[in-house]
Amino acid sequence: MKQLNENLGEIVWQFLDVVKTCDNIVFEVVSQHVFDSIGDAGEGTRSHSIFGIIAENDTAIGIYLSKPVYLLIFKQSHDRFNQYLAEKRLQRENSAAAGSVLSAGPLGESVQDELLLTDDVFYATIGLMLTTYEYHTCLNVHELMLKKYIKKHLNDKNYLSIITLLVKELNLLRLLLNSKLSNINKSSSLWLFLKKLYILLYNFDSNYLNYPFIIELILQSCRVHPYNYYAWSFTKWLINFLYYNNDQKLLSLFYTKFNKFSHSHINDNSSWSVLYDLIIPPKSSVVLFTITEYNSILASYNLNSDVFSFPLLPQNYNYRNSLNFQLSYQRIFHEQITWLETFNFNTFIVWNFIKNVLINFEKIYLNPQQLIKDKDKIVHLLQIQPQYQVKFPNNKEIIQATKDLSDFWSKIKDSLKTFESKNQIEIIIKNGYSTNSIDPNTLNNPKKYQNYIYQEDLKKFSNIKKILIWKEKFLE
Amino acid sequence: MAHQQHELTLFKEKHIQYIVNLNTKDKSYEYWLTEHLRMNGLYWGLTALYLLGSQNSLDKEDVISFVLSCKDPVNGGFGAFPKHDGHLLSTLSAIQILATLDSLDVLNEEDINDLVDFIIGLQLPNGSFQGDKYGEIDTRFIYTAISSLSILGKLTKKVVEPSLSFIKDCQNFDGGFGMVPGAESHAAQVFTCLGTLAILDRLDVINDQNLLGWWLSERQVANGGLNGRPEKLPDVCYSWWVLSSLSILNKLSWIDHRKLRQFILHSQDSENGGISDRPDNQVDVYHTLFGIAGLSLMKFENLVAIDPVYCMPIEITKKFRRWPYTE
Repeated sequence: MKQLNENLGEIVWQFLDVVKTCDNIVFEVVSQHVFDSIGDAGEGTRSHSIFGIIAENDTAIGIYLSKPVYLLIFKQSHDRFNQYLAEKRLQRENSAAAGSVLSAGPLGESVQDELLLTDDVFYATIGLMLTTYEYHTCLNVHELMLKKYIKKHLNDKNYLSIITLLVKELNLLRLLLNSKLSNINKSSSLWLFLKKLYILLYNFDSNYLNYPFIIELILQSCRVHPYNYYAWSFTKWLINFLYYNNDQKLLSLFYTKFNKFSHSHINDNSSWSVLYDLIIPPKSSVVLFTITEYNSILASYNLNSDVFSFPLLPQNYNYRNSLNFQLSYQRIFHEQITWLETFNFNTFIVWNFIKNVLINFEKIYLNPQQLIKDKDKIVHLLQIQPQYQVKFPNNKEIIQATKDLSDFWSKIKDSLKTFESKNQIEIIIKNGYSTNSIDPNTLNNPKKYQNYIYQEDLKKFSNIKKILIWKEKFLE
Repeated sequence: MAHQQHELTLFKEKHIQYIVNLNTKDKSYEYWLTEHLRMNGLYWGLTALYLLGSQNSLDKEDVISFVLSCKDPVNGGFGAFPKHDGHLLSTLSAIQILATLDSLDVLNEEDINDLVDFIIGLQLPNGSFQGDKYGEIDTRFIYTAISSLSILGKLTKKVVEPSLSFIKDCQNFDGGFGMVPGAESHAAQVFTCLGTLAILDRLDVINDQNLLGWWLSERQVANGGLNGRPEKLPDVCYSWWVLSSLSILNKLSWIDHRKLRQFILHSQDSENGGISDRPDNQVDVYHTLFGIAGLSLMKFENLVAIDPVYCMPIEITKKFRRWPYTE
């Protein structure tokens, strides 16, 4: 690599322009030996001063850093950042010793502190974001500098510069969140930062929000690090936000992409949990939390609420308006059930998902039998909703849809009864999650109680997960 | 990292040495790469030593001096390392360390007021807490805030009532709790919510304790280890998050203790000490603490008794002022 006195954090920042056009990236830190062999890979390989780049397939790019350089980035960034922290502390102590008070600057820190925020400190935070995780002090400074640049360009009304910066920050986050460094890939602080960037771009110019890019960022992160809790939590937040805006087009896009991912990751409870959210709209309390957080994040950037879209108000959301009945029906029946029947597997995750969707769908749209009974009333009610008028041209479709739903739910219950009868067990479905009924007398005798769980004494009491996963052991 | 095949044993002396040696590795990259987690690491190490009956292995004055050097003079909380910003996570660890060393009195009235102001200042109108000014919201931070205030004996109704309301909103239909309303149930979040409810003597807030108990018991997998969510791999740290939650619910017998013990002991490094997330992986002080804490909770290995609510020795927590305060 080049001379050691180059600002490595700055090189990382500039590197983002190299990968911004790639559809899909994976970032990895490897040994020097592996890194050198990448350089020898020949066709499809490009080199950079510190990163190795290799085309992994038509759309994916592998980005590699050797461990020695990775540690060098850390050391250089750590030293510069610690120098900044020391200067800041010294400044305060000197001020206190002199009996003077530091005056507040435009960013909320002292004027003197803000003068210490130079570009090389910014690059040091980038180096630390790459090499450490949950370093709160570093992220606070990085965000402070982002606010500093936004404020400067806002004063000049230079929105394009702000957007350019935000898009570059988004690419930085993609590098981090699509890395194989699991502590960074699943960092709750970084996923929050992604949320902040989304909200800022949404307000400055939502045309720059590339949703396929965001979806691929999430999915790639979850491919590299399955069951990524904070990735999926961010996704849930985003879906709730789309429900609030009643953006059916985007919700459909999300559904298509996440449906495909879930079908190829049948054991990923988190992805199926998100798929559930894409069929059953969130409760009002969940949306209230979503927009409260949105408002709070924007407020922290001191943006003018007259110019930007906040604060958002909770009364604008109504989940009944959000539920697209026909689309939900189609998603449940023609996509999920058909797929499940085709592949005929018995994983708990998928089974649980189907039951949860049906039970809660039932709750939101009343009892299907009730729907059939009051069909004329319900049809009229649905038809007066303008968004349904186009979709439901005649009564027969609605009746058929509700009848299918009712028939299917009956089939589920019948098949459960058959299963119970054949195996002489009782399964109780409660709130969409199957549980069992415990004989209270057994609770006083833990050893006997354990026998209900781990041995074959499942004739009376059982748990559906254990049936599906352990049935080979216990019942066959 | 070989382990004894014929007889499982807890390598107490090895673990003590492993923890004590952590502070001597200041020439290594790993030491500095984790500088921003130092306060948490110190709490994990000190608590593990205490459970192993070796609380005097670290120099008490050095530890107190380090903790006090991490006070953030701007926001009043404690950072993870000197000159780092105060954050709820490192603040709780600092308070826990001082309490464990029976040294909360090193904090004067001004220090305590600063701490209380810092913590309360992070509560939002909906009852949730941010970790710091960065603004991350998570039920972890409700627990760290309430636990900190509880140890300091500074809980108030004004803080408690909204916290309860937010936790209620984080309950899911499967009985578990997520990090925020609508989030997927996760064992660590279950612990933080249950721990908070236990401190506030409000377990009645839970919709269905049996359902939650079942969800937690489902975390045990075939090899005896516990996971945090359905279909995930087991991890030793869930020996704490799940087990302490079951203990709080008075359902500790709902998992197989013998098998969990095996899993934890198989995750030790028999040569250098320390415990990892699962067998044959790299050890770290975080998993060392939670593996030992899990064994203590199950009353194995003749360890010092641990409080499932505070993750601190019961000898220490029995001195805490209990909510609701009567005087």
